[in-house]
Amino acid sequence: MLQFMIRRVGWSLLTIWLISLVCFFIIQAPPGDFVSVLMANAEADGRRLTAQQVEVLRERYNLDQPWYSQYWAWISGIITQGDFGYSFRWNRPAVDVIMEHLPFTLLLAGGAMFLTWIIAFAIGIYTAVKRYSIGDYFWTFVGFIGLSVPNFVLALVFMYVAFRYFDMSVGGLFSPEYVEADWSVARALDLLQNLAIPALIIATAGTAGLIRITRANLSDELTQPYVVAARARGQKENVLLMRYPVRAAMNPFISTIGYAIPSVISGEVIVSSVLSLPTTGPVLLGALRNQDMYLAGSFLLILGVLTVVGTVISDLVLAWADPRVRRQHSGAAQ
Amino acid sequence: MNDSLGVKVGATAAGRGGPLTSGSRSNAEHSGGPGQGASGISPPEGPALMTTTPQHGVAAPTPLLQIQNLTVQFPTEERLVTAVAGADLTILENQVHCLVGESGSGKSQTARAALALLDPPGRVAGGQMLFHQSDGQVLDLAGLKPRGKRMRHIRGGEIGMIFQEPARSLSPMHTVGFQIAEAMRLHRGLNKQESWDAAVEALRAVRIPRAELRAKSYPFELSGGMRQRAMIAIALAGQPRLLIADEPTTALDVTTQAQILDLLREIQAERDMAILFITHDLGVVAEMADEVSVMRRGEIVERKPVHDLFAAPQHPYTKMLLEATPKLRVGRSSQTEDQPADPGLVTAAAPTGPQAEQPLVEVRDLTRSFTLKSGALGLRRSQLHAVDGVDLDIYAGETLGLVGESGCGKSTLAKCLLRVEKPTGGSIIQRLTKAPTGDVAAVPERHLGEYRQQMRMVFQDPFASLNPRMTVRDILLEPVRGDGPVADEWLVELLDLVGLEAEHLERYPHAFSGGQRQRIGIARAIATDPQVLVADEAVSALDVSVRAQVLDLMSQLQAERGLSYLFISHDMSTVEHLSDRVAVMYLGRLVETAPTAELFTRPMHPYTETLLSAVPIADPVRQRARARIEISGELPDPTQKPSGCPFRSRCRFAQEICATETPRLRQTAEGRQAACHFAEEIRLTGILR
Repeated sequence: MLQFMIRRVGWSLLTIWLISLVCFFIIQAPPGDFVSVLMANAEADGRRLTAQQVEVLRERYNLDQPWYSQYWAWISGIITQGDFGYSFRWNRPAVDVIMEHLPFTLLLAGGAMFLTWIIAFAIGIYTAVKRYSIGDYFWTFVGFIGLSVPNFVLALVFMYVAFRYFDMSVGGLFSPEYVEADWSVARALDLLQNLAIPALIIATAGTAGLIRITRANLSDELTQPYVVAARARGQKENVLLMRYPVRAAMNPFISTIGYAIPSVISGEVIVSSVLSLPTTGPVLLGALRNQDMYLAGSFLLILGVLTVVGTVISDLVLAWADPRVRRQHSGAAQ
Repeated sequence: MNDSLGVKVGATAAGRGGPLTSGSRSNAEHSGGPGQGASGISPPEGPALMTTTPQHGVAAPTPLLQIQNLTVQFPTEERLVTAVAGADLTILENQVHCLVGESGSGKSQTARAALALLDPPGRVAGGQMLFHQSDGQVLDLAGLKPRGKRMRHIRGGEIGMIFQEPARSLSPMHTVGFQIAEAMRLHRGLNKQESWDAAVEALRAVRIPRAELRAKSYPFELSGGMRQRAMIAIALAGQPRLLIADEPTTALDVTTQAQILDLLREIQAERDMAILFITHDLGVVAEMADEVSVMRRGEIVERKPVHDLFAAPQHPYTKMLLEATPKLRVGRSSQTEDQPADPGLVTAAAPTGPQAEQPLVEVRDLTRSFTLKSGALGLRRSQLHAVDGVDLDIYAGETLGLVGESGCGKSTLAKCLLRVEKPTGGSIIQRLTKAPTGDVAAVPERHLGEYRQQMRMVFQDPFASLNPRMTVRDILLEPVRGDGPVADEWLVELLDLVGLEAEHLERYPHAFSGGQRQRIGIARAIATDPQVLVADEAVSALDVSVRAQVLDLMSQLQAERGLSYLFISHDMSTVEHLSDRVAVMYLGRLVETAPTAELFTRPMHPYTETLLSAVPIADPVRQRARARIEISGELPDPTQKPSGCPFRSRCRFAQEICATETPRLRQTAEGRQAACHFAEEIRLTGILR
């Protein structure tokens, strides 16, 4: 198990390094460099940078060096000082911009993932056990609607319904009265309430796919001899259902941890735009559109790292949950 | 009648008691003696018991389960499939009742119906299943709710069940101990710790060494035999009075099968339990049964005590089954001519014998190794020598049988012969092609075309080895595609050779039965007019009656076309039936080669003797009179073979020299070779006499 973990972490560090290289080249891709953008900006303001200022700036960002030293300066800045570079559009360090938006994003993403799992798990088990029943067809239908209706449409519908019939404020993270208020229990509750709707919207899309996977996997497991064997030793139906086939069908859930993180973060771009939520999605979109390359690159790097970390976590959880994975990698198996 | 049988049974079980049975010696000793192991599953004290106490010494044959006019149906959208059509079956207390039949006869469904374990949409459409409980009450199992409390008590508490595939009948996500302990909790009202202890005891009672450790193992960490033992432990946890064993040894090797059958026999005697033993193998029936019911197309066609059934079968179907089963006959003559049974007098064998001419294929010191990665970053490597220095000759017109347990390297050897696998070392010299190819083991792929036309393969699985999207015509044309257009007459002729007809040409494989598919596979193999056919378990997946037909076809083709066969099988009786010579393989090495009759009469390698001893003969009189050579232990991990002789860890003759020196395969008698230091000194027993 330890060997397995070491190997997984080792590979993921390598992957992260490769991702950082790609991100760096994305930052470098637009013609010119950071200082030339700065000069252009200054000219647009009617100011002018002296040749000396330009030189100082170039030196500070190592722009006169070959690409590998530039990369080293960039990556070592990130690792040692958390310095992700500078966002021109926001006129602040990129890391500040990101940190301002990241917590809410993670909260939203986490909530959406949690909802996805709860819904998909329950409906997946139900539809697998009651295969080809009316209930199965109904939930399958609902699942496909969730899969096929675009998120922004759902967002608009939810906004309308919530506003029209429940008199809830939608859009933004807080209701108007709490926007400027200090943190309190009421404010936190308000935040959760406001997050619930976007989380539900994002969850619907992911749920449909996961329901199908769970249903298919569990249907296969339900006919396995070990289920019949458990029945033949006198175990109760609901106990054996949860203990054996459901347990074995859990693997796809665990695997989703890895890919759910980036898909949730990028998936919420449109929903967040529609609901005007201050999450990372719209900021990333803006950064890409405005060629705010340090900010964009930092975002991509963080997303990449999160994906890798998510994958490692799901691998480790999988190994913890599934003895076949665990034991085979430790060499204990025959 | 029943009495005398009982005595016989006891004697056999005790007589076979080798190292395995030390925990259980005999019935008399069992209750007070060293039977600590068994006490773990003896009735526990305490009032909260729903389970029954086995009644010792019941003499009168009282019925335990009476199945009357049982009908099981599977309604599908197209039609109603009747799997069991009015079957009657009575199982007496303390009796081993064998239910025999070919696949699809409804034998498993009958047993499953009793426990309401039919796969949906199956249902019991009629009949009664009367179970006589220990308190004298009679319960109709057909009338119980499948999910109700009473049925759950019956399952495991009154009737235990073990299954065909132990690997798939245990949850891979849970330890074996957990699954046994679950059954203990359900039927004995034990708490968590007690049930775990009981599970360890139960593993000990099914003779699993180091039970504490094994309880914590996951099913995939155990061998097939150990998994089936664990399944038996689960089935016995609730002290059932009836054990349903549904083909429990079909997926196991013959030596493991022998061990499991022994175990079931011993346990049955210890516990005064009845067994409903479902099998298709008449050898197993001869070994196990007190009473036999023969099932065909959902009906019981004949029911008799085992000796009567084999001696005087009444129903034509029973007769057919018995005839189709290869007999290991006493003083059997070889395929072509009568031979004296005494090995001392046997001279040069058949006209195609070893001395007659040069072999078609000469395999020398052939090795095929695989590198297994393990450890951090896959840096630690170990070598698996699947084929480890094999010398083998195939002569024109002969059938060479290749036997050995699963994992011994038989199939890898076959693949090397066809160069599907590239050998790691050694040479294959062939005299099949007109133009010499040199060493087949080493020549480049592009020079193998003609060789592969001369050496063809028939595969084990008649379903997976035919492309479902090709018609029979396409399948037969594929091997000769390079030879230009082919006339329809030729194809029809080819089909006719294997007993199929012209109208079959345009059909797809799914339209054929297993036996017919294997005929297509054979037709495909002989389409190039080869000299050698490699048949890797070619008839293992077929039912007895179909198997006999396919074997007849193979013999006939051999006579007509002078084919040579390399017939690979784990089934000794089929090999004996078909082969002129037999090679025995163990852990990647040949341990013995000999003419068939001699090998089966007087083996010269202890492993051969063990294999032969484990083969159940389809004759209850002979089977029960035999002395079984106990094989100790399990097949070693092929990556960690014992030093010296690979078999020494399980050999009863092993000496010091066996650990230090690897015995070479050497000439031990005329036409015979064995890889044992003591081949000449030890006197081994065969099947034939």
